[in-house]
Amino acid sequence: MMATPPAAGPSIPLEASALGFRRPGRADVLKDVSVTLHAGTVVALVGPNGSGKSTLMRLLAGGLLPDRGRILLRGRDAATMTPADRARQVAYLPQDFSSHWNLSVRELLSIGSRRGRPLSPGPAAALDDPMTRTVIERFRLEPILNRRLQSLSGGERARAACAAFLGRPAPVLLADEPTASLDIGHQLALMEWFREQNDRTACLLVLHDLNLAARFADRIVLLDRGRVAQEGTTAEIMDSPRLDILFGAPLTRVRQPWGTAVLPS
Amino acid sequence: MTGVERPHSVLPGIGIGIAAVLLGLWLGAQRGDPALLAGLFDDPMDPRLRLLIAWRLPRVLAAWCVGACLGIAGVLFQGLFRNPLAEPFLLGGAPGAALGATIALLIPLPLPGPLAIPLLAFAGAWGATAGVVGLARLAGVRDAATLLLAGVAVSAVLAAVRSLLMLALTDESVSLQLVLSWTLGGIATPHWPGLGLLALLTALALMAGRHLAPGLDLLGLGDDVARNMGLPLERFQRVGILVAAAVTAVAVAAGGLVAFVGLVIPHMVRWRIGPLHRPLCVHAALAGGAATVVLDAFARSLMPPADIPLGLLTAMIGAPVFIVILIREQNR
Repeated sequence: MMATPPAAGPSIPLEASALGFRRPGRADVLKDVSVTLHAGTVVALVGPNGSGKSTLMRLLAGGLLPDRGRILLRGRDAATMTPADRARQVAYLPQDFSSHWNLSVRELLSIGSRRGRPLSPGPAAALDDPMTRTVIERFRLEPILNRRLQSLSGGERARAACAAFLGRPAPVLLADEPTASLDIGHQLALMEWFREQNDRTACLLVLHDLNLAARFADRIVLLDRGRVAQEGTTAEIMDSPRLDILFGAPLTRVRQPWGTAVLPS
Repeated sequence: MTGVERPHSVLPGIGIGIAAVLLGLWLGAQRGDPALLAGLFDDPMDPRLRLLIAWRLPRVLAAWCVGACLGIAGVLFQGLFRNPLAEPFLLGGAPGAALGATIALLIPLPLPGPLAIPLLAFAGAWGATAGVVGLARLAGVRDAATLLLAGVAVSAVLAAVRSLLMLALTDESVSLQLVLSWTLGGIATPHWPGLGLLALLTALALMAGRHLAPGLDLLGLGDDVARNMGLPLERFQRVGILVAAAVTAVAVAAGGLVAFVGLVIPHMVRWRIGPLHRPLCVHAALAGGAATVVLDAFARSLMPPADIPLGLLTAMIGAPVFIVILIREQNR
């Protein structure tokens, strides 16, 4: 699970180098950002508001095109891949997912099962395959399967979206604040779920809760004003004074069986 | 149980469609005799029966096809723009078609008479929409809202050109009333070959709609998710709009400007079967067809011997229904 020296190639699910992105007429949102995600690892992306975390996730997910730099997926340049090919490599859950149509959870899961097959009809409503059943069970969606998204609580909606977009195996799972609207029980369950992904999958999660990152991530990438401020193993980053500086608040470290937790001083 | 939710059956839609066709055959300037319909097989040589089959049946079936195309086009436009208020005439289709028909009526063209209006109406409806999309693309417009504004601008220009033509070219031989009555929408009774072509195009429209539907489902999840799921977003939207405009143009060529069917029907169907676009497309075609057949039957029979223009009737009924829909959506 530990960091291995970066080596480009088909064994690395995602390798982004020197990514840059700017909005027309504005300052750079991201400058020279490089991230490598190794198979079997969970990486937390942490940084203050406005540091470019969501933009980076959108670039990696294929929602935005970078102005500079390149993204390799298992050694292949993402820019040369078809959208469908790329979709099979990287699954993505955006921040605050919302749907324009008031889908039922069942319908959302059905759409989610068409990753990489955008014009395939897929199952209209039948969700009988074993993988979907596992996901429904795991995300505790059984009681709300037939309810429509607008009638769900924020947490229920977030669980449904997680299940729909990240529930099926992909070499890379990207999730932008997946735990934001979950209660603590569901937060832990979701993080456990990322933790249990097989050794061919790499996860990159934007997390605001440093302690969730400390407990579940193998590595942490600190992002600050569009640049990588520091990157390292979870233990290194949690003990780094850079963390206090970055968030502009002195932090108290507390030793836990699983590592270092932080509290605001 | 996690398993199968029974997909919504199309049987009720087909049943309602058959009932609507029977009603359409019966209603008219002269009510059909139910006994005549019932005795269809007793005396196939009855002249009244032959009249019914030669005149009323093709019109009823054409009305069904027009309504089905409007229903499909409505689903496509609403899905592409992710907006339940989108409708088939959104991007200049209506004024484009009206301009085409005006040209066909006012300017002598080397086209066979009965084909001139449908051909030019089709070209106008499709050309206007393709023009809007092309212009927007040239200008580097990407978002749907700006595309709508381009549609508004192009529509205004087309309407102005049409008014100018009407003022300049109408005289005793071609009356303004002729041009206006086309604009108000009405289904011309087609010949059987024409009806065959219309039916074929309607079937193609349904197939195209069903083909695009899974992409529309993805579009509804937002740009980022749609792209991440593998949808080539810009290309899909561009192709989708051109297909939707072609489906609209088929309806316009056969039925003139029939208002509100393409807006209201997808809404009502969505309430019943949910927002997944594949079943939505099929059910909106069935419901649009049935609704248009019934409305066309009333248009023929309410003020005999005059035909009320179908577009007027659909607007008079469709607009209040639409307001009810808006109120209902507010309260959901």
